[in-house]
Amino acid sequence: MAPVSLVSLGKAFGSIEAVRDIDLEIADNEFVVLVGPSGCGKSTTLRMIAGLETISRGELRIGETVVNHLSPGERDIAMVFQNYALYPHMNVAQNIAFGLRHRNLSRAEIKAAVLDAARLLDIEALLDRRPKALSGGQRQRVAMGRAIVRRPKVFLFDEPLSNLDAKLRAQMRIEIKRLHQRVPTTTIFVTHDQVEAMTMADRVVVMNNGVIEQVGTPLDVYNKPATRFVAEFIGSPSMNFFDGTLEAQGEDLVFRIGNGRALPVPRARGSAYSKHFGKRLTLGLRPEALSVSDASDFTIEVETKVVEPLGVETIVYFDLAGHPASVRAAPNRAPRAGETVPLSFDMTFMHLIDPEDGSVIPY
Amino acid sequence: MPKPIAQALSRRTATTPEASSIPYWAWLLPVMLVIGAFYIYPIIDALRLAFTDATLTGGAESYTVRSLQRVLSNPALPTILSNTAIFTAASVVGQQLLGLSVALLVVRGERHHLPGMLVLRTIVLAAWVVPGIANGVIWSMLFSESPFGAINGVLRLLELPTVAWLSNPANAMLSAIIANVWQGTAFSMIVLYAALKSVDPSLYEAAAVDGAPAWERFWFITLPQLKAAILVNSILITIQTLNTFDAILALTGGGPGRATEVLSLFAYNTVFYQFDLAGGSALSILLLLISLVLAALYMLFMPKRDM
Repeated sequence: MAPVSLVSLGKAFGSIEAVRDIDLEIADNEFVVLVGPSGCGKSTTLRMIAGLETISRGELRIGETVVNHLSPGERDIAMVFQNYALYPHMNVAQNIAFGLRHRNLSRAEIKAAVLDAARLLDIEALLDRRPKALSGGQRQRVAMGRAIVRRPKVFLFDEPLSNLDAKLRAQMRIEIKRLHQRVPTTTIFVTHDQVEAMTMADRVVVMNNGVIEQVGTPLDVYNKPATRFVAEFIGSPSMNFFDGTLEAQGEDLVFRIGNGRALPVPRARGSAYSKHFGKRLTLGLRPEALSVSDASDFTIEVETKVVEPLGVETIVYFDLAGHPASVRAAPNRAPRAGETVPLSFDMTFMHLIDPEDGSVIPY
Repeated sequence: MPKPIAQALSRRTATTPEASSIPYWAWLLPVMLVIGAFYIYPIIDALRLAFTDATLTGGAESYTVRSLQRVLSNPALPTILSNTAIFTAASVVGQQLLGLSVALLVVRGERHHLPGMLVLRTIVLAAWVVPGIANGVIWSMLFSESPFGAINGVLRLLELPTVAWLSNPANAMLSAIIANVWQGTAFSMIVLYAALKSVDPSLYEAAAVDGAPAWERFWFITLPQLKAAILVNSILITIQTLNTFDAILALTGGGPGRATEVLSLFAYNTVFYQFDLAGGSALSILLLLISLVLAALYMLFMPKRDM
């Protein structure tokens, strides 16, 4: 239970800079998720916080203490590893108790602490078993038990759900969230799965190429992405992107896709976008900002390519002006593949992206 | 599973009619023949010879237990068995400790990307490919008490008193053990290096996060993870050391007196110096029994699963 500060944190492996200029303030008991594609530096950042990687540059504080040069054991953190890293020659109880060795506790106290943790995670019945005799989900719980039994200042999770099947993953997501509510602790969770990031985080930190692209609440990051990378990475299916130009049409602005139709830009955006008038830009629209209907004034006819029924909704894929794109449709009104359908655009959800630096133009 | 698929699968996995007509033991025949001819038969023949009065000089042999009685009641046998126990135990412990040390050093060096780790491994391994006799000769030169003796030469340079490495019965066994450990360390190093490399590195990270200092990580992670390798290695080194006589033959010839005469060398001497084939056979059966009992003892400590 302590805030964590990362100040201009950086890590270089030889001449390769894996992580640079990470500035992040994590509040006491906050649940922060570092998310990004593989190789983006999220795990390296977590390992620097854990003390498993040396810090090349910058400062790391846990609470009031600068911990750059403290060993992992001295940082009062606990970590759940991707492969759980349970000690195979110890049973569950011994695994959980291992971190309590230097706490000057009596045997009875250790036993009580282990039982407490086991009860919290519903693994009391497994205490005598070896890790080999446990299922993936049970191992996950034991790894978490080993972490919480020490009541550390900070919990670190390194992609802990990636070895589980889809159903168990969804279940463990909820359990970790519930655990955080019952045992409030500063938590830093690393994942490449944007669904995990969105569902679990108080704040999401999107990383790419060793730097932070954006920090914000899940809905912030979803609704107001700062860069094209964030817009593309967060959300499934991904945001649609159409290249075109911002043009004037009478008193209004329109976005012309390639040489095709002009889509009207909402008047409220006018002042924010006016200085980009005439530029080549990229329009970003999430699949839910499109709909298969001819209800609005500006519809475009497209031929559907692939249709994915998901039950609750159906994703329809098509090409528009050479760009692959998708739209969410109600299952009972979804077209078939190969059909030509009208598409409506809700431009109040539009994002304009400067293709030169990939930044989303603020509005 | 739908029926047609199940049927197709069972057709594919079922043995063909030609194959099923051959009895199962026929498939084992080749390996039974090889093991029988080259392992079982010599053992049975040694057992048979132990109950004869056979000599190397030939002549008709007849069945008797007198050779066996003579060998087992030989007043030198207790000394030889105790030599064998000391030589074997010290070699096993020495080779394991040194082999583990070098293996830990190499793994640690590799983890920190130190240059020369492959060279180090190769140099250590070089000792292992030296034949036993050559090993004895090399060490007899190193231990030599004449003016050119290497170790005593260094001691003299340092103005330290020289040591009677081979002529003093109290030191000769130590010298033989040093020579044997030097040669055998490489084997232990390779076995333990392979085992160390297969330990999941995240276990050490988890232990570090759990606050375990280096020695605890060694004690609570490395050693338990190496348990199986250490036991298998112990079995192999024990059997190999019990059978070692070439290095001792070249180094001390078993002397001074019987100070370094071990069971295998005693068996060798019995057959090839006293021409007592029956006595030598009895001794080799004794050696086999000791190996088997020790191997069985080690197996008792072998982890059954979860490792």
